[in-house]
Amino acid sequence: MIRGALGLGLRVGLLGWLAASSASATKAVVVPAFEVDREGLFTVVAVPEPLSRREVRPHLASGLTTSFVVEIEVRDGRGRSVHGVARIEVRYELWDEVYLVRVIGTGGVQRLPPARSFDELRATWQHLHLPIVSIRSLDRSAGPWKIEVALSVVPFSQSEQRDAQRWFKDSIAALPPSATAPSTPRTGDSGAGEANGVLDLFLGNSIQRRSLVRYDWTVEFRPEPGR
Amino acid sequence: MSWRASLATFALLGTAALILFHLFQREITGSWLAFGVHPQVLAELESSLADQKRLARTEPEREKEYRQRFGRIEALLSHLRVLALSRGEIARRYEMALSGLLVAVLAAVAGAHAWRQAREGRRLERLRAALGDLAAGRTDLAVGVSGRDPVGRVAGMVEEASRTMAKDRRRIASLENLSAWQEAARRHAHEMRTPLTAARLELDHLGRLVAEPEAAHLVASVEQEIDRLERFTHSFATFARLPRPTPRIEDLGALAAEFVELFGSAWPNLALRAERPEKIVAAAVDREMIRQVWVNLVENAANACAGRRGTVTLVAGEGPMGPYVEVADDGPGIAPEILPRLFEPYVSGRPGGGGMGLGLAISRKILLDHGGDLELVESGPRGARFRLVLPRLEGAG
Repeated sequence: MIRGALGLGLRVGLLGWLAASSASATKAVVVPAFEVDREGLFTVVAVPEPLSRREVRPHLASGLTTSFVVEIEVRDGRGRSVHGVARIEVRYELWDEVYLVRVIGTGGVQRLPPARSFDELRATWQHLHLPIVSIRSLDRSAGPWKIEVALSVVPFSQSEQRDAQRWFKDSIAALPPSATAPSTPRTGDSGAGEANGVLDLFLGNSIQRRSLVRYDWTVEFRPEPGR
Repeated sequence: MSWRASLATFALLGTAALILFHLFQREITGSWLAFGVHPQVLAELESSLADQKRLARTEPEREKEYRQRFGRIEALLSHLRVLALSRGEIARRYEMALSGLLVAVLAAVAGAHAWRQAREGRRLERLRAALGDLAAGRTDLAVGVSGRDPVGRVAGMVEEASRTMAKDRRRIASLENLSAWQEAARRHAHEMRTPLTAARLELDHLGRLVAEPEAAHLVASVEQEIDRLERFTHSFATFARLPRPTPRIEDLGALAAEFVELFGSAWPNLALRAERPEKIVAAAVDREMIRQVWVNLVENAANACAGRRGTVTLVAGEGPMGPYVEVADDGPGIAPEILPRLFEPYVSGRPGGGGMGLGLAISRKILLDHGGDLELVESGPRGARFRLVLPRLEGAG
């Protein structure tokens, strides 16, 4: 009896583990998935999650805004194509210790509920829904569509770049940092001052946003005819 | 060094300088950037953020103050993190800017060197051509190369040598010409002297034979003509037998002043002046012969100023060609038609063809025999100005 109960338990446990593994396998997205909504918007419904990757995760908690830029090109069987871009911005709020997530796509700017932990952030990512481009100009009947997707990770935002540039220019100009005003012109030797100014500008502008890492996928998509 | 060799040298030096600069600069740039975004700095700032939060929890009534401080630290931390992410690009741009500057400086230096090489090449080519011309016997050359560098100085020497050659040639030609004239004068004097002597003896005899007053008048008239012919013959003989000068070192200014003092009243219609130079103008001259030259020149001026008063000024000086004395009058100048043959014998500018026209020829011969020359500097309605140029003394300036 006991052995039967133990065996049943083991079987249930094994089944449970298999079920959990199966569920987990269905959630681990390895390629992007798409759908077309009623308005004819091509929507990314699943993006492989880059948050846990070694080259990305340390940046997420830096307090800077990490941007995930999704670029997509949809090409129908006749060779016609459309392009679309969406952006997911993640910033860890250091005081409140929450992840703030903002999605910018065809539908405008959408603020998602703050994620209180990294796991919550991952969960938020898994439920992302990115309407990205209108596909009304494409032919749904012309064979499978070829979708090229690129996901770039940019470690800081445009405004953070501007702030840092200003701070850097002020710093190398040996002036007190000014959060709002641009660099005060220096007096004195105008020739050397101009040369320094050019160098400062040259160096200051070297702070530019560049993607840390980029992932690319090419997938096929079969649209439902007539939709 | 050819321009290719120069270019290769500059390219090698420039490349070496760039590599060294790049390595050195990379160390410096990398160091200060690494210093600015040192992990310890970032860790301390993060720790400070955590402190502010703890303090805010401990002292809730001052939370606003701690939060503001937190914001400032957070901003600084963000800037440093952005800097850390961009440090590669910053270092690259900094190195690029400084390397560009170095390349520009090297290019400017190489360009200046190439330009200088090309210029030196052109100057040397001009100098080579001028030396070829000089070797071919051409004179009065203008090399067209100036400057105080060796090439410029050599070009100046070539020009001076060509001028000296031209002057010497003119002197030799003049001397040859005058020698021919002297020989002719000597023969004329010799040929004329014997018949003139015979004629005078016959005329004396005739005078004694004929007692009629009319005949005596004719004899006197013929005697006058024979006197004149004898004077001409004497002049020919003088010109033909000009002695060689016996030069001594004299102060030309003092010599001119002495001449004015001695001969000041010799020409009634002329006032003589001598301007004493501030310095002694020394030259090796035969003072008697130089005086003779001045007498000839002043005599010509007196004849040119016939019928009115004039002034003759003697000025001694030191010029690029050597010491000189200028003799200037305020007469009507020399007739343009005789200027090309002014120093030739038997050329006279006197009205009515008076004079033998030997004065300037003799004067020039005297100066040429001194190793100098006699030049007409200017002639016009305000007078004529001659210059007696003498050779520079050995060892003088």
